[in-house]
Amino acid sequence: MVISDPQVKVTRPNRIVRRAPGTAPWPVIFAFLLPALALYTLFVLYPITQSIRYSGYDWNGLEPLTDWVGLQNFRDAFADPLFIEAITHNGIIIGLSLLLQIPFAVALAVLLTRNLKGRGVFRTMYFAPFILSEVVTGVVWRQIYRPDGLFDQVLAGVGAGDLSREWLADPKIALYSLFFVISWKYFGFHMVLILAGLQLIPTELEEASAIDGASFWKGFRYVTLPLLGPTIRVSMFLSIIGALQLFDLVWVTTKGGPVNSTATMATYLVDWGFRRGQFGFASAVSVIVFGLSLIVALLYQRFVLRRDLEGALTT
Amino acid sequence: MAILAILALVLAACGGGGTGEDATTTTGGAVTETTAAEAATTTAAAEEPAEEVTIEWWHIQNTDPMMTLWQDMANEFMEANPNVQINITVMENEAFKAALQTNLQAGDVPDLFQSWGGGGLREQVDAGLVQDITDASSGFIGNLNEGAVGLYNVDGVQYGVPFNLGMVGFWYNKDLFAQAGIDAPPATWDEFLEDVQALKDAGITPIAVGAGDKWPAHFYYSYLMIREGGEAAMAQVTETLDFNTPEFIEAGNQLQRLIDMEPFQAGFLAAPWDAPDGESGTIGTGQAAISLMGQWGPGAYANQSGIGTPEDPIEERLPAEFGWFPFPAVEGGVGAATDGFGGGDGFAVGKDAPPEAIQFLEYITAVDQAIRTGETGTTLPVTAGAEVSVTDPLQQEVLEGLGQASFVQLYLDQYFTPELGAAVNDAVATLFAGTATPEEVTESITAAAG
Repeated sequence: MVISDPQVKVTRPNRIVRRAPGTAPWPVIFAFLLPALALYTLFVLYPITQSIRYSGYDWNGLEPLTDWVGLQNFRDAFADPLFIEAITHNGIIIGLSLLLQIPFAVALAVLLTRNLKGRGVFRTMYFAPFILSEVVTGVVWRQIYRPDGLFDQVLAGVGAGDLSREWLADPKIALYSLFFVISWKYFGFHMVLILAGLQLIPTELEEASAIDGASFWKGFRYVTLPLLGPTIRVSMFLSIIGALQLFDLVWVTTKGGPVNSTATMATYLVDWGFRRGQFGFASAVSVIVFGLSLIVALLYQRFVLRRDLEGALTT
Repeated sequence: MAILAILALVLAACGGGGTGEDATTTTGGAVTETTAAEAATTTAAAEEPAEEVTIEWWHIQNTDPMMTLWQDMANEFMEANPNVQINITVMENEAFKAALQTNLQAGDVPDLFQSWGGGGLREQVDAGLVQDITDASSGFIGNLNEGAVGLYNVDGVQYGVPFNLGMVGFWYNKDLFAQAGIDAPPATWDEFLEDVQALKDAGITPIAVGAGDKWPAHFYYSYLMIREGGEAAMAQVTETLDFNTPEFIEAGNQLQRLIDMEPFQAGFLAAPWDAPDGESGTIGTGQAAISLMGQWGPGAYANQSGIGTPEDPIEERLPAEFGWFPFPAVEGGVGAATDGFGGGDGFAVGKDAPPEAIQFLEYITAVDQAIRTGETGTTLPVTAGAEVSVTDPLQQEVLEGLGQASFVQLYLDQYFTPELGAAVNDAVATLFAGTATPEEVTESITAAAG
């Protein structure tokens, strides 16, 4: 089983190997690359190839690979409404992250670059959830969301008890409850990325626009935001990739339930692999997930990050 | 250390069929010498220094008293057989299932591992991962409950040995029943629904169910299938894998009647079985009255109640006095009211297990040891003569129900293949969530079977 993990391409100048005249570099280079290459082959390339191979078989994981079914597993996957539903859930999380989570992170970052008293404390506080592991986050939030748990009691405490819901047990809202937890955990990370981006913007530019009479909003819209472009686009990219791979948090809180309402592509494939023992089918799903992630990553790099990769500073 | 242990294991496994001394150096020379010496002087059986063997044992009794008891028994066996080293791996149920799957795929099969029999064991048999112990176990297996032994028998070949057999029934909080004015447990499904209504009217949450884990929900559906269709219908569906029968749709309709009353605790669709916010926690803290669960129920409620310490008897750690009643009769159903639904626990024997592993199973299921498991109040031993050890009044009721049952259906999610079992559980969960009709449930299970 492979969940793809395309790395973000960070802009870097073309690397030129500088070498002293007269030395033979290739064996040396190869010797240094070998350990990493061997590990990469063993733990990345080999499993991916094996997954692709298994995906063509009807295989329960125990018996020899004999039952070749060609592309049937792929056809079955796309014919299964639950898998389509799982893809949709990933899509919803991506959409909501881009629409809500990132703008919120930008707003907070802009706020926290200003001369606010105790901004260091706020920055640390907002970043703190990010350093928790997803499993810990899941366990904690399952308790917070449980009926009459902390969340409901806080609502009741401020007189909004009517708003109480079965946060994780109601199939209609469980996905959004999870999205809230995902945002809670990751907005601090995006905020820090954007804070770093903000610090790269020369203050002279903002001062100049202020002197020219630009309001705060106009200065933000026409000076800060364009210069933040590359950072925001990387932030969005990480968010998309994270949402495509979403697994741990969902598995710990709901296991994709109730009745598949929070299933993601990853929980779907683990469910078919480890609960139902259909490793051939699960491998096919993993290949699909890998393919989808690869396509999304390549398209994003091609159409959104292209100018950044070429070193442009603004949109 | 870990590498050494693995090495020892591999060598021990390789040496299993060999002549002897070559494997002895791996587990530590000093130990070998002393144990060999002891063996020679103490037991008559070990006239020649016996070959060093290691038994990898995976079990899921991860809470006391059973966890300690298994360790004690392993220690006793190792003491009596100094050439045997038993390595125990204890895991929680769900973690065990995932880890076992990985090990089985790698061909690294534990010598003894938890098994429920059924479709899962059949897959392991087909893949040649478990050992035929028909002959090796013939000396003692006759002392064990025939039905329980049968769970580990595939096509006439024995692959494992049971130690526990129980059945699912309704555990209920007698205080809450009294508060709702219910004086006797219901005998029919209609009476049961009336009692649920009475509990609701009294402001009590009638039922806790861990529908998030799905299998606790499938107990309701399975029992209604058995009550509606009886043994004949279960035999038929095993053959045809066609669940679209009037009996099973009617089972769904009956369950729908219960679900429509909204009798479950808040958030039941996300609740697991065993957690503070799960079925056991809700019952253990007295927040709901009824739980449909197997013989392990009271132990789990007690662990979640926060009352007393694990050393105290289970009944003292429950929030109220508890009782048990069998799943009630269903009007118009073919199945007998005494038919049971349940299963047991046992250990399957891995393909490379040494003969000592089977001797160890003989040891732990011998009547003296079986009595010790029964005395814990968490296990219903299957060895003839060990019934006397079940002194816990609640467990005695289960034992009595089991004694009356002429037919006991194994848990459906274990009985069928893992794939079909999961489909049964998933389909039942959709019924609980109100997103499918009884007809859609039988259709989706049948589709998964095809």
